Amino acid sequence: MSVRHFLDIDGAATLPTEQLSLVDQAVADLVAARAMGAVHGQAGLGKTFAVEAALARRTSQVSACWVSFPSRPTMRLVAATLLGELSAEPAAGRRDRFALSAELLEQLADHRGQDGREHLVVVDEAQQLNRECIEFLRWLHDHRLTRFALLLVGGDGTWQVLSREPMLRSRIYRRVICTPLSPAQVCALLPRFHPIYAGVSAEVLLFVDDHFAHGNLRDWAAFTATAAGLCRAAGAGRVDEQIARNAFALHGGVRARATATAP
Amino acid sequence: MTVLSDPGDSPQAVAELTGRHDLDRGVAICQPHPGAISPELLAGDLLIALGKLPGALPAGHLSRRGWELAALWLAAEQVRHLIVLRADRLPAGCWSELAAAAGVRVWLLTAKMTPGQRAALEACATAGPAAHRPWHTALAELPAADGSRTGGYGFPPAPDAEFPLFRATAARLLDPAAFAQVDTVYRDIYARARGHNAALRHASGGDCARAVLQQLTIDAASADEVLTRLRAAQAGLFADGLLLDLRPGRHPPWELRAGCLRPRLDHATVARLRGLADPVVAAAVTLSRATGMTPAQLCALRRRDVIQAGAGLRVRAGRLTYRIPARAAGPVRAAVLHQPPAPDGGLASAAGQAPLLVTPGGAPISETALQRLCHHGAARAGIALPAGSFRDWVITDLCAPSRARP
Repeated sequence: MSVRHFLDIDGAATLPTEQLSLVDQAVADLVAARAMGAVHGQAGLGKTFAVEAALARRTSQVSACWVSFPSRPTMRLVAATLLGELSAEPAAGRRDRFALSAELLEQLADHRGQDGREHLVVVDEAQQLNRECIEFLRWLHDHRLTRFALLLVGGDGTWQVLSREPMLRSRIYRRVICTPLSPAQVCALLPRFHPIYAGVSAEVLLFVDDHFAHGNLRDWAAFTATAAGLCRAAGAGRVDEQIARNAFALHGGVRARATATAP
Repeated sequence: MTVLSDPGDSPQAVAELTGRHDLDRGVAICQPHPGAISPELLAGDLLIALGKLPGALPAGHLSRRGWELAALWLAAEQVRHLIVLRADRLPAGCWSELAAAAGVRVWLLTAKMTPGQRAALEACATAGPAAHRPWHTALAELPAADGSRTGGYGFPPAPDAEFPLFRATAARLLDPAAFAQVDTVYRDIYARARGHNAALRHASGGDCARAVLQQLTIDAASADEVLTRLRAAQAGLFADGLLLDLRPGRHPPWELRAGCLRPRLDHATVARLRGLADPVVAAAVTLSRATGMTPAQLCALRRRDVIQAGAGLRVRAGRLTYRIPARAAGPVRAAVLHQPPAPDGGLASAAGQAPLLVTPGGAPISETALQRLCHHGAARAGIALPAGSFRDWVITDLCAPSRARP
């Protein structure tokens, strides 16, 4: 399993953030305990990337199944989508959700000994799920016949749904809250992200962060892709304030800080 | 019916109670599907709790008989405790249906109760009000699941020694605890084998030997245990002047080991047999697997031929008797309990004269149809038929050396 950066930037390295480590540990713990977990936070903070990176390190131990759903799906759609991913048979046909659930129980059954890997179901964009659908996933997870870990990855809406129901919240064994990089983290980590930040002053980095990226990794990636192109065009080895301003212009100007939902 | 209170709907309650699921000890855990709002849908979840394959009802065209089959299998598997998780999500009508399950103590795990459920509970309580208690108090009353069952691998490795040396070799090679486990089985089978010597001496064919060996080995859950039982049987019979030759010239050793030493009803096989929801199919496949009976012999079985013997069953087939161990008795018992409308108006079935294996209409099943049922059932359950057989093994009466019985 390969892990790709947003925009696939040439020369970019993976930032060793605390959240990357936490997600890595959470995935390991969830798989070991076959438990439920959640990774949530604003868009663009590297949640999916962190989970992919954690799974890429464990391909011999974990068989991961990624699913995502449109907004407010039905239980039948959840069952059909999950079954399609697990069995590689997209056609759920006209079977009702009870028939699909029966097949899911078989698909997610304890298959120890067949390939030795544990199942992990990753629900990306889990904020799209409503309470009933999370309840359905919980039923599958709790079922005596099944053996798999479940990881919900999504925006803060994911946690809002989970936290409203004590019976769901109490089942979350590992929770990682992804937050934007702080100014100190930006100064410490960004020089390792791409060669154009090597030796760049903290002032310039914070200038970009304050006016554009706001600690958001996806925005930093977008800025980096643009700034790297501008550096090449200008024959510059590293980013400076002028290149940063030009990059802002190409992105439609400076960006306001996104308002975070309180966890 | 007892209501177990779990206000927080805690994962501990689900994990602890689910851990008590053990059909061999009469405990079944039912996890109703979210939105299972009718008894028919609940019946599907009940059948899964009873070991049936998910989707067994539609696969066997049995969807309309869900509740009938759930009640039948509850009785056949002799379930004493039925625990329904998240029962507060079920409508009151389902509670009433569950309360009617005869001979079963029903435990309902609930976070809260609706007035309708409360009324249903009170209506069902025949001897005083139904009990309410915290969920963890139930653990003291539920038998603990047998965690030692690991597909038969818990039995120590048996030495590959001939019967005169087997016990001594086992004592030499195994540690004391392992030897004690092997020796317990060995001594039991040795004594039981001696009890068959008269019948074997006077039997005229190999069928009797086959049935005796079936009785002595069918409880084994691993190849090592089968070998231990066979060696004990050889030693026990030899003590009474009968030589059971396990290596006749026509069986190369690999076939002996691959076929005859393989346990017929290990725990994994029993779990697969339990996956069959149709009682007739389940009984036919189980009997075929356990006894090696032919379709013709299976067709000839009557209800009265199945007799309770301890926790297991005895099945009489003409002059022969086979054993079905307790863990695999459910499917056969289900066929006995299964009472389709009898063509004779019920008189024959009341007398136990009715065939054991009948069509849904109550008519006897033909040999060809039974063969087909067994074939499809075995394929659905994922087991091989026929199992290894003791057919053609030779018992020689050493007291009458001129007579060798094939």
